[in-house]
Amino acid sequence: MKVHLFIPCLVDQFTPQVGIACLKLLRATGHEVVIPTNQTCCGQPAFNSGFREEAREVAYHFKTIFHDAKIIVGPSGSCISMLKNHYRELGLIFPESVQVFEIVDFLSQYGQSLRFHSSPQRIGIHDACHALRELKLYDQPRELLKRIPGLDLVELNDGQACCGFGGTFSVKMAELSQDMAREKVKTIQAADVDTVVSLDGGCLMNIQSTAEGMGVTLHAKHVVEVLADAMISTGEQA
Amino acid sequence: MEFTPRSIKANFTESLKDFTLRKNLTKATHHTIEKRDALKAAAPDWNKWRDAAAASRRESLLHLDRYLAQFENQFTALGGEVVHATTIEDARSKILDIIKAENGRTVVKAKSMVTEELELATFLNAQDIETWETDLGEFIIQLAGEHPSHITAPAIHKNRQQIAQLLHEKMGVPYTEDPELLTGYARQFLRQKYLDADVGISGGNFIIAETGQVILVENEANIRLSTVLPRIHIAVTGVEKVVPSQQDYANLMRLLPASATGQKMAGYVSALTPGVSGGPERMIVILLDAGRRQMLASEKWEMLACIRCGACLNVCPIFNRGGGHAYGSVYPGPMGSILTPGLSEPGNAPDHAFASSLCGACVDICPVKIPLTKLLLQTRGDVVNTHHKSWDNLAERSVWKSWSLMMRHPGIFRIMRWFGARIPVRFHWGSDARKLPRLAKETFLQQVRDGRFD
Ligand code: SF4
Repeated sequence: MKVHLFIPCLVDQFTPQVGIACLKLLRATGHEVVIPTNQTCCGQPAFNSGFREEAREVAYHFKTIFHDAKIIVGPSGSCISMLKNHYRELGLIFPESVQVFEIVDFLSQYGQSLRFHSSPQRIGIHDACHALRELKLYDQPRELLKRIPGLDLVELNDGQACCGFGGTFSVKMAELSQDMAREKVKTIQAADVDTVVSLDGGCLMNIQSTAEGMGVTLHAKHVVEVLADAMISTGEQA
Repeated sequence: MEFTPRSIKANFTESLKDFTLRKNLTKATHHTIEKRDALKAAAPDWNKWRDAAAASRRESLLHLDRYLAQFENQFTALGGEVVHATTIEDARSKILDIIKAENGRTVVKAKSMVTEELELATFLNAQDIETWETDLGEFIIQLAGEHPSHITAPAIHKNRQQIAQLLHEKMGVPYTEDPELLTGYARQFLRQKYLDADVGISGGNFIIAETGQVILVENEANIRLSTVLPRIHIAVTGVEKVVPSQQDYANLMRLLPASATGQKMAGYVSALTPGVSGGPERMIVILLDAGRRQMLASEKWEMLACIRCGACLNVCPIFNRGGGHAYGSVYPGPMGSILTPGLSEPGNAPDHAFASSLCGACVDICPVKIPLTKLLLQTRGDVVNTHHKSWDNLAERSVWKSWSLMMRHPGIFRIMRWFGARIPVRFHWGSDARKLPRLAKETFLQQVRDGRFD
């Protein structure tokens, strides 16, 4: 299948390794990957702040850049939900022939050929709000990660509680956001893991930065980073 | 309906320091949620019930006038009276007129959020009409001179010690932390008030168009006493509370107690009609608009489907950190952040909708499927548009305008990023501990452009 890769702005700017992981995984499953290099942002930050006009301008740009895409795949629940659920609130509608997936959702449906080598590690999982509630991605990341031999996936206490990111909420209501993020880091510590995975660039950045601020060693990763690391590449498989 | 001039942000800053508040609150809300979750888990048809409840509420809202007229016909045919109130002031003065015309001196009040909108007890007491809240939580709040901090559990922010101290100070009863004794003191005091009262005032959980019944749901039987003992019963309810039929009411009751208090069924449910022997001589329903029709005509109309269960408060990480008082409005939490600005003049309560991380836990729990995050986002849009001339707003708009320009011109974006990556300091992100991460040396898209993955 021909897949257009959408790399959300935060991922592109701060964690390019997530983009690389997506690319590796998609190619390994035999899909043709198109990466429009003039893509920027889906418009979510302005939309969530109430600036709908500006959000629409940027969303329209996004749609133009991806105009010939039939399948759009990207890492980050909230950005994908923006395309799938909120574009229509801005009056922008994708034709019915266009399918949009969070990458983990896509891989859980079309990534059966992926093979993983053993990777003994304990990893905590935080359910990013929009991936969980707006895209209903709960089983998908768990099933994929459990295909990695030796990987011990640990559920966090209150794992579905928000990490406090919320886009510009983290700036406008900074103290509240900070308080929520600290609590999240504490539950990760309590689970005795030093790596936590999730499905949203924003949450991961928030958790990582908060942990650093608290002096806690923690690696916050997108699920695809762990998958790509443990993947047996086609060369090895052959 | 606001009662604090401070901004929500300042209120939350205060609340975050109050560890007793946080402990009292989360203990109670988590307990309720656990009980609710257990009931849901034991009900295989929960989602079907939820669909039916959601559809029923929307049916009412889509044909509101028809059902209200039907209710009025039924209710008056049974001998009741219906009074329409357009604003809060209108409702207050009409209620006062009724009480005065009857030479009423003492009023007992059942718990009702609509009457909180009217600040009715305070208003009537100021008019020399002795008015008592009879719900235990509301009674505590009245003694403390506060406002309820939760729509179903008004004193949820207080623990047993605080309540013991309050009753000791205000009522002069011996200090005790025994809940039974404390309740006993309140009961003893209120018993006489029920007997003295000329007028009982309640809210209305639902009013049924088909039968003209007023439904009241409670656990303490104080509503029964308040509505039956006095000569006159006034039920104040928002126009949106009408449901078409008894079947709709039954559907909603499968979810209301479970969502509100984690009970399969509430302690007492009364279905009241006028003209019953042994009941009050007069029964009057006040149908309050107070911004509801304005909301019904807006894109936020689904908010009126709310049955005031309070589950969205219990599950909200923001509510649990701030407490209801931090919102400074009658209705707190996710539902309050939409209702408060929605029911008032455009431009009022501009901060409410921003006190949310949009996590959506409220959407998942709402028994009538109100898309709360979508409505919060719409409210944010409204705020931005109504305040478009304020300085803050103009400043923020210019930021988003530049952002939009940058995002639509990837070349400009790349140049800005080149500069951004060379800023040596890391910016504080809200508070001192958390800092924004450094920009990556090379973006993913730059690496793609460089042909790194060809
Ligand atoms: S919005 Fe939904 S969850 Fe919140 S109080 Fe209303 S009915 Fe209950």
